[in-house]
Amino acid sequence: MSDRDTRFSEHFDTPEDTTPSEDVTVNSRESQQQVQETAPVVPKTLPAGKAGKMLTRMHNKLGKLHLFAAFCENPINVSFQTQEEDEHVLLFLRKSQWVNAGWIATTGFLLVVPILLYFFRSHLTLFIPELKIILVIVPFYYLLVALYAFAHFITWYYNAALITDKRIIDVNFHQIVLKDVAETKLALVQDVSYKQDGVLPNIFGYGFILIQTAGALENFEFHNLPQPARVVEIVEGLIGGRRFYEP
Amino acid sequence: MNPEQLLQLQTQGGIFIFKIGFLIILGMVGLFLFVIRNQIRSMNTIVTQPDMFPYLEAFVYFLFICVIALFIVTAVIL
Repeated sequence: MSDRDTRFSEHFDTPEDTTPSEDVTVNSRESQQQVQETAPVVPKTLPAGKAGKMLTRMHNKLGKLHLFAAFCENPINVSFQTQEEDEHVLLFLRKSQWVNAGWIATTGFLLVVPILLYFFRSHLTLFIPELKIILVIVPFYYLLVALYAFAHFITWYYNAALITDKRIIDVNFHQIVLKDVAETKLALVQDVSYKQDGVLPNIFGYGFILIQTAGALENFEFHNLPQPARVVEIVEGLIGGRRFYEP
Repeated sequence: MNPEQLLQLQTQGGIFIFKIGFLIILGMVGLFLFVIRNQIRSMNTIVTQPDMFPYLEAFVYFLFICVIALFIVTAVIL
């Protein structure tokens, strides 16, 4: 078991589930100091029983966020601006990779359009400009295509949702110039549900997640998130474990 | 001025207008890239994902270099 696993196992309160920490022994003083410096504080509001077990399992499965990952439990290389010292990211989410299929296909088509025009130029009665104008226009066209693809990619990349042991954070990034960051404390979350509506969401395993908050606060809506059942399971575990999803 | 000279003058005028318009558009694309770079930095501050950030920023700079090169080529060739 790695050192990181050890840290989480040591500091996660697991009264019933002793499996992850049975083989862990932190005997040396150095190890204990390291644990105190870097380990998360056990959330005091953690529900006992199933929720405790589930969170322990989750913390023992630390994951390095892949470059294009849409779902990562316990990412070790993600942090956010307003993160507190004793706050830990449990879940990092983006929209499913499959939602990018549209703009990727469009980009592919746009890339081959000039080539197609070149090969079929004899069949076209288009005005053919001078060579020096073509030498300027074609690179400019490809520059615009690259910008189109890049803008879509960073829109997907920076549209993220974070679930920590204290709150839920929704980061929206649209049309390059629109940023919207919303967050709510887990204590204010009343219910969480998911919906997979349609053929593609069921084939590729993504769906809509609704997190309802107390009172007049706005609900959190996440579209096209991967593994919605797992997300709901985790959030329910954090807010009190009214029901559990056992895959 | 004979018709041929007039046509040549019209063509040169058209190319000149095209060149100026194109350079303005390239300038706007460069400005847009500058905005994208700032937004990437800003978003990376909000949610830090250090693995990808250098590549994204490098790609923006690459596009920026392309814009500058195209600007120069346009100004020289046309």
